[in-house]
Amino acid sequence: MIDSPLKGKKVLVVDDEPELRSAIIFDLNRRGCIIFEAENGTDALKIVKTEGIEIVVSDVRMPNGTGIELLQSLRKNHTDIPFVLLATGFADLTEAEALKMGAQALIEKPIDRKKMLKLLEEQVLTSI
Amino acid sequence: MKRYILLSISGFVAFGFLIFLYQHSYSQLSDRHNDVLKLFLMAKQVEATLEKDLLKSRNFLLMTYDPIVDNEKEVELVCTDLHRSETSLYQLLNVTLDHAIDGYCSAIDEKMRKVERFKSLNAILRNSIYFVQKIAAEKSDVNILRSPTTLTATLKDQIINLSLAYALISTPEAKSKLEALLKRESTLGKSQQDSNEVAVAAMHASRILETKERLDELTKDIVNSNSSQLLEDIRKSYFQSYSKAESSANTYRQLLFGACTLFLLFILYNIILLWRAAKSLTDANANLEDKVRDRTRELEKSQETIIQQQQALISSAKMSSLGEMAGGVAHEINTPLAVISLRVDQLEECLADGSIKELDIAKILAAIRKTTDRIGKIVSGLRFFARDGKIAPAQIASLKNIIEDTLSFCNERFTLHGVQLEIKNSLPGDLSLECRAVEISQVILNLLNNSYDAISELKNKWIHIEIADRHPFWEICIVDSGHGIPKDVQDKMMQPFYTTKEIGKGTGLGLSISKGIIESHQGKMFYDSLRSNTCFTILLPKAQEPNSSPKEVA
Repeated sequence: MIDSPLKGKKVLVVDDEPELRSAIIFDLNRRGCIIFEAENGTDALKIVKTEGIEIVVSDVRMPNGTGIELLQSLRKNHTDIPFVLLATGFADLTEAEALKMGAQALIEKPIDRKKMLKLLEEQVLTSI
Repeated sequence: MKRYILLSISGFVAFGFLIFLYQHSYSQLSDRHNDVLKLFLMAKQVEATLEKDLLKSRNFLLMTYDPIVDNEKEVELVCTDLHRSETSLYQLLNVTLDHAIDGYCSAIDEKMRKVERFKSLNAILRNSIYFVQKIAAEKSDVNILRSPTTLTATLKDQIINLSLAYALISTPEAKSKLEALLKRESTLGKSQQDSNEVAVAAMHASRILETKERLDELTKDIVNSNSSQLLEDIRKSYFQSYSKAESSANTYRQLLFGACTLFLLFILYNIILLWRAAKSLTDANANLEDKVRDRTRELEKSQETIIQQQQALISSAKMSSLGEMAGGVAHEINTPLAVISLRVDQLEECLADGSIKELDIAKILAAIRKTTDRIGKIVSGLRFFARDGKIAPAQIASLKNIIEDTLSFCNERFTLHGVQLEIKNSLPGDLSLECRAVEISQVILNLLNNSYDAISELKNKWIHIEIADRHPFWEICIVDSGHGIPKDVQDKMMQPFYTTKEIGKGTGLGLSISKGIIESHQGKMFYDSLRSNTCFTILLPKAQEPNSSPKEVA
């Protein structure tokens, strides 16, 4: 277990790619997070509403509800939980656009792991 | 043209008819004219001869018929002349009968009868003269005859002589003298014999006188007969009718001349027309040649341009499909790459802080292996496109692999947009196919993209790839949830540059290039209008014919 501000936080990982999901979860697990997963935006929205999720890490392109749709519906319901988008960097959207839509950060694939973890920790710290 | 031919023919016919009419009337006229002229000439001659002969005979008879002179020969001559005249009259009669100149015929006939009478009177005269001559010979005193007025003999002799002289000379003075003597004699009384002789002489004398008078009258009658006048009349009327006929012939001639002129003008007009037409035709031909040459040059130029543009468009279409593919590929690769990157990082971290568990290492490595495999698969699919399809010969490949590789370029996008993509294949094995795999893959991708575009707005989105064995072909059907293509689009959609997509979205080359590729493999690609869903069917021969390697598609 690694000491981290993320410890005990309810984190939702949304990605249609199970391998990527489990790779991210591996790190979050080691930092003591309570992990929730979803493979599309629609499922993710339900989990956010029921489970009291504190941080969302979501892919952009997914079948049945994209990361952008998820972000938009969350912001519409005035929930300002930290939201980090993972993008493939090909014609998805720019970081500026993501920030404008209310996301806290946009990380481009292939993912810089350290940057991602640092960002997530920052989100926890700034939201307190 | 037809009109001119008809006109020409009718002109010729009319022309010929007029010539015939003219010829006919004129020949008739001239033949008859010659005959009639001959006849008139003959009649004139005959009449003239007759008149001459008759007058000669009469004069001879009246003046020189001298019983004292032996003029038997002259008398014979007169008779011959008369006979000749009669014969020629007869001939004339025949000729006039032939020409049916009726009035003149009867005149000649009459004349002939009169000549006959003349002849018979002449015979009577001769007879009487002969008789008187005989009596005179008996008296044998020719001198008395020479000077009948010197009466030296007895009264009886005087009377006989006088009567003879009277008979011979036959003058009215002699007659009156003889009558006076006879009156005196009857008062003197005389013998029966003497009185008989005197009576016979007197009788002959008076007959001669009478005959001479009658001959004279007859001659006058014949000479003054109206036949000449009649001939003249007939001639006149003939000439009238002749001139009438001639004038009609002239009319024909004039008509003919007019027709000739018209015809000539018509021919001239036609010749001018023809000449003009020929000239304009020649001009037009020359122009046409120039025009055709220019147009051909223009066409060649524009064809070159079109070919260049087509090639440019085709290559741009290829590039755009390549770009589409590249986007898909980048996304496909980026995600596994992210996984590997994360995993490797995690592994390094774990190794560094020593918190690593064997189980975790195994888990991470398995994940990395799985992901690299996935990338390898994508890259092996791309390998097709890296090769230059143009020079690649057909090679044995697996249809199954080709389809699966193709799907790796679009699967992600399709799934993302909720399009269900399914391969319906119940066939075992790899489905060996001799082809240029890159091209077949392009065709399938193109059809899949078309389907995707067509159904992206539908509620129900699916695409099925159905594979069937139609030996010696493989049949690949790409069916989507769309409800078919309108008939008017069906007819044109295989043509280059035809597109139903929005401007800028489609090049219109996809289907035509796809069709070309399939045909270059001796296969067929067509739209199956019998199915309720939109379906494109590809038939590909499993093996290429040995001597017909697939042709290139630009």
